[in-house]
Amino acid sequence: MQRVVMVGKPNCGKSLLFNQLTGLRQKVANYPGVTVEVKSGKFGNDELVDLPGTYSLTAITRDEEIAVNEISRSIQDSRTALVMCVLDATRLERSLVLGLQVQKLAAEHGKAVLFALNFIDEIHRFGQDIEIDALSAKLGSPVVALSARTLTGLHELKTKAMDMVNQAEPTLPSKIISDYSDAIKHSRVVANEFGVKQDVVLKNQHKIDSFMLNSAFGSVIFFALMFVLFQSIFTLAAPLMDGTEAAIGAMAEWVISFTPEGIVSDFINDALFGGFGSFLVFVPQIMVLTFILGLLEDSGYLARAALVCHRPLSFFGLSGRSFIPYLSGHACAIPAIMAARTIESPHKRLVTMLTIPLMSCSARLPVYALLIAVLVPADGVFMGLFNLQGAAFFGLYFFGIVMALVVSQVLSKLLPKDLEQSDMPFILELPTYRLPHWKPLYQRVITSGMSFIRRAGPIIFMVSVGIWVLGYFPQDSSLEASYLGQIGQFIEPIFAPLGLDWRYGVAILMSFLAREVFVGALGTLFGMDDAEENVGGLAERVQADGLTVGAGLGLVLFYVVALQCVATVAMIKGETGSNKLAWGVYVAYGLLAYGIAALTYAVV
Amino acid sequence: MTLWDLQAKQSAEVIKLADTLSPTVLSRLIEMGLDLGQQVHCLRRGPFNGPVVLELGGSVFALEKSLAQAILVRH
Repeated sequence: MQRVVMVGKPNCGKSLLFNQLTGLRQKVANYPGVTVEVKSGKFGNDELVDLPGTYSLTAITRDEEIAVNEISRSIQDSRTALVMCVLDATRLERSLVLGLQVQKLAAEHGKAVLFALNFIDEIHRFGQDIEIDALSAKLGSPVVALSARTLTGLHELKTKAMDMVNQAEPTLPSKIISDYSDAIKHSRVVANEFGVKQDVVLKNQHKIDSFMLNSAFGSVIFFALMFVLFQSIFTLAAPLMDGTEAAIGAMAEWVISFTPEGIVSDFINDALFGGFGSFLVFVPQIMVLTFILGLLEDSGYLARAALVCHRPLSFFGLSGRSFIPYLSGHACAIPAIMAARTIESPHKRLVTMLTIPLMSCSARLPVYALLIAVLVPADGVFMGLFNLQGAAFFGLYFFGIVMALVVSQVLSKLLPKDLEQSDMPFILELPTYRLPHWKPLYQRVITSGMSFIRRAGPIIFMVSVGIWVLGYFPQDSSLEASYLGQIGQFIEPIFAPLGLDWRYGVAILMSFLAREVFVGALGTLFGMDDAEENVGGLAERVQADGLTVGAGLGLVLFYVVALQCVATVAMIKGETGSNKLAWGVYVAYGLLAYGIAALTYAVV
Repeated sequence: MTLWDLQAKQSAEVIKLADTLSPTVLSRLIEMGLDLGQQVHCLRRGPFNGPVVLELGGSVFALEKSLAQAILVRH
């Protein structure tokens, strides 16, 4: 099996092209530096490898360093038969700098080079064209024009690449630059001859930017977008969640009607539907969040948001580039911590990574949704326009962000200063605005729901069953007298300062494995406590049980701050190489969360 | 004057990159096209000394103050 390696500058559309060529579902976004890992997939009988983007063969950020090392290694690898160099047709000069350097490196190691000229659809949309044959002669290697989005020229690219891989002798570039530093000069010459008139391409971008980056409107638009984002997670998902809940309820009733009264029926009702079922209700919300984040990423707005945020964030010891990891941290901290690799400054990168867990990730959604449904009336309206529950959601997200900024401020004072020696200033390329890629976006939404179930499902199932077993036996005793009740009463004093009884205590302790467990565990506990067979919503049960406002608010704030995710700890350890730091963060956020919850209960 | 002194909608030519810049930053600027002789056009200035937005060689970049001050330009 031979290999084809793909290289290109950041945001040249490599990931989408890779997905189209291999049928894989790698994350795609209109923001420089989305690919921070090396990915590979099947390409005919061969292997296609996608490398992170870099501007040249000299690296400055961590992900570029990986890219550059990997590019050199891949090009020298004996299995590599072809180097596919992706160029952005709308940014010919910038993408050729790397392209020409890679071409030289490939030629030196006897590898064939193929230039894939992406975004040709945008050039055509501006009524312009690029002379492919002449460009190919000028560069000394074959060029194929294509658009990974509209699929124009994709077939030609595939055929050409397969042909070149299967040749007995590699077609070496007929021309190469004499020195790596020549790449810049030569790129300019080629771009002047073949590139399109830039003012045409950039006209629309400038028009939109004059609103998005306007000194006055810029920040208003930014806050409005963020508010709509978090508000819609709630309002868009609400009907879907109600539907899922009703479906699960109906299914529970249907199944129960077949099973005779007794232990089996109790198990199905309380452990399966009460515990595991109450967790499934939240899957639509996670999918809606992924969808909206995906829309924003594809549009190209995120780079503008990073720019708008740079000044305010640098006040807290962060960079404008911290914004993207922070935002994607609202879906899941794990990819967000990886995305922090694009931050140039090692000091700011570390601070960003350590504070990402304070962003309200999708695993917290079930907990938020449950407690908001308990505490906030469903028909309440905020400022005459917004749903009050939606506004409460936004408030929780906002609280997480404020906590992250405060902790960043403290951390940047505490962390060793020697990291600042290698501090890098803020430079960011602003990409063209583009329409979303619907197919990859749709796939991402589906995948987010599936992987949420797959990741959290087994553990929630086991915890639900475990709690049920401990709570059911000794048989025919009340819940208080069960094994679980005995354990619960033993730990109750820990949670007394938070105003919570032992059932919450058990659910909180369990959720230190994974925070989603809270809802399932509480669902099982409340299901068993109820005398009658009730498959209604968990929120009504908690409400009827009489959770006080102070304790409820403290509890939800506890979940904003606490880092209850072992996978995140492992990721921080992987990225920083420090076990002490990773577990230190876990313990510190746990204690901070406890303190905040106790304080809230005492004050409210 | 430095790039930071450039007003919105003004164009200028890069004449010097300050010696105080580290080699990694220097090479990044040069790859971006911010090299001697390059024409740059200032698209907008950020509020509160925020990054300046520039167009050069068909790309749009945002640069923070400390960096823009290290690049000398001429009208």
